[in-house]
Amino acid sequence: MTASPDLLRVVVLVATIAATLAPLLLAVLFVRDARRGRLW
Amino acid sequence: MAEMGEVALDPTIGWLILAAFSVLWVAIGWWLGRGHGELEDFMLAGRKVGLALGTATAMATWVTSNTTMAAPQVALQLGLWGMVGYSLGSVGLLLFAPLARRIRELMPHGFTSGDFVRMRYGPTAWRLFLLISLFYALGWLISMGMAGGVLIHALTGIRYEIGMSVIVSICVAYTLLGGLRAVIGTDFVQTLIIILGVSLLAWLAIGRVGFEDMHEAVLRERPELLNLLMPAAIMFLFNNLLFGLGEIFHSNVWWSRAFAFREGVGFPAYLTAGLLWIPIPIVAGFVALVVPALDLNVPAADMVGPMVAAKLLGSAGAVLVFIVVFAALASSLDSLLAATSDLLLTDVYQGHLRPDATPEQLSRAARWVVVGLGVFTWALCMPRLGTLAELLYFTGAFVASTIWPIAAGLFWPRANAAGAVGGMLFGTLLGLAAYFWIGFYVAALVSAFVSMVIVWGAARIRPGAFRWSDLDPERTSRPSEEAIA
Repeated sequence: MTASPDLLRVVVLVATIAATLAPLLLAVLFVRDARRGRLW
Repeated sequence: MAEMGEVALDPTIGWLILAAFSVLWVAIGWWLGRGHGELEDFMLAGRKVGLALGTATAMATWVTSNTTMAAPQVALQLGLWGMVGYSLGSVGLLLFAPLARRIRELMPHGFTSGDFVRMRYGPTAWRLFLLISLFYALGWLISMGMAGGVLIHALTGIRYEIGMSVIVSICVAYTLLGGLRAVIGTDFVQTLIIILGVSLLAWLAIGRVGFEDMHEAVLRERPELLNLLMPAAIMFLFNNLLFGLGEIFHSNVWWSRAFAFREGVGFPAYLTAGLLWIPIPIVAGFVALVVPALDLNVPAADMVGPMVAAKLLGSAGAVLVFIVVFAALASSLDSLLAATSDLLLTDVYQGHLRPDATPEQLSRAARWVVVGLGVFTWALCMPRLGTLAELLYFTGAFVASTIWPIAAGLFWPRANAAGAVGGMLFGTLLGLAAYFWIGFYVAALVSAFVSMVIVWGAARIRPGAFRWSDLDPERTSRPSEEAIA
């Protein structure tokens, strides 16, 4: 049973989009913690 | 390495990058470490780490040579399932979320995972656990030190021994200056660098090669990589899940963070880190599937990532991978240095050698332990022992045996010392047998299964009746006489 090009495309694209958005989420969390004085 | 020779960085550029980032990490370490000389600050960052830094440090620590160099290697060997299997390593982070909350509740003043095993199961299980934990920690440290040396040599031509020495000594330097606070602070910056770097590389590979050409080339030259029923790959998938669980459940790297996070932060931090981590091995590993389309001849499996980057981006690709892997290695190496030093300090030095050591003596000893561990790691990294994945998976049999003693020990009062000792001992032995007789991809699977049966069976035969209040903070902070007798 061989993976189709579409399966490869879906797996890799979903992962790449999610990874690209991750730094944004971390930045938002950082700003929120910093504003509340809860970084450390 | 003729292929790399065409695109290798000039050694001068390599040294400049190394110097720039080394100065940055050490400066952050020094800055964050100012005025925080107390033992609890050094070891646990004052126990008030917030959600953003907590999430980033959990994520950065788990993104290591595994994901940046060994994930492409596994994808090249096991194909699509290799990538997906690697991403199941995130299950360890996700499942540690409730454990982190439980650990913080039961042991608000705890220091190490060894504290828990000692108080929960007694001295025999504690010592066996320490052996497993320290062996694993050394295996991980060596794999990262080696990865650093391999990368620098491949990309710049700087000798393996020199590159490895630089990476290890820089991590020791800033861990020494700022303790866990420095480790967590640098982790945040390193996380951003790693994710942005691997994402950029993946987008470039997608744009330059495209899925149709990539699929066609793999199907022509390495069709087994697209086989969804490859038995070894499917075993690897489950094995990696259990390996990840074992690594995280037992390792003081994760326990020390559970102790260090502000109250209420452990659960969301580990959960978020796990979710954000899922795509990283796929993104980092997928570049291996473009090897056939790029017509690359890969001389060593653990060089896939750097070679693809160099092919796609030329010198800029080499610089990008260099920076990403340097960040990934440093983020894990520093965490492991700090957490293993805590284990050595609390469970070996104080627990076995100096039970009456004062906080000042411990504080001084903590720095010496970091230096000593760094030197020891460096010495073991000097000979290049094997490929990264081989070394890493050898430890799978050890760590998977600790999953059930830890998980059951935290939630199930019936779990007893005999089950924990038997589970760790026989799980490890049979896991190692599976490693040598069958393959690396079943070691953790066998180990975890054997351990589960023994922990469960022992509790059925002679149920324990553990009182959670015995994990009392007063006893947690200092090993008691009877526990180490």
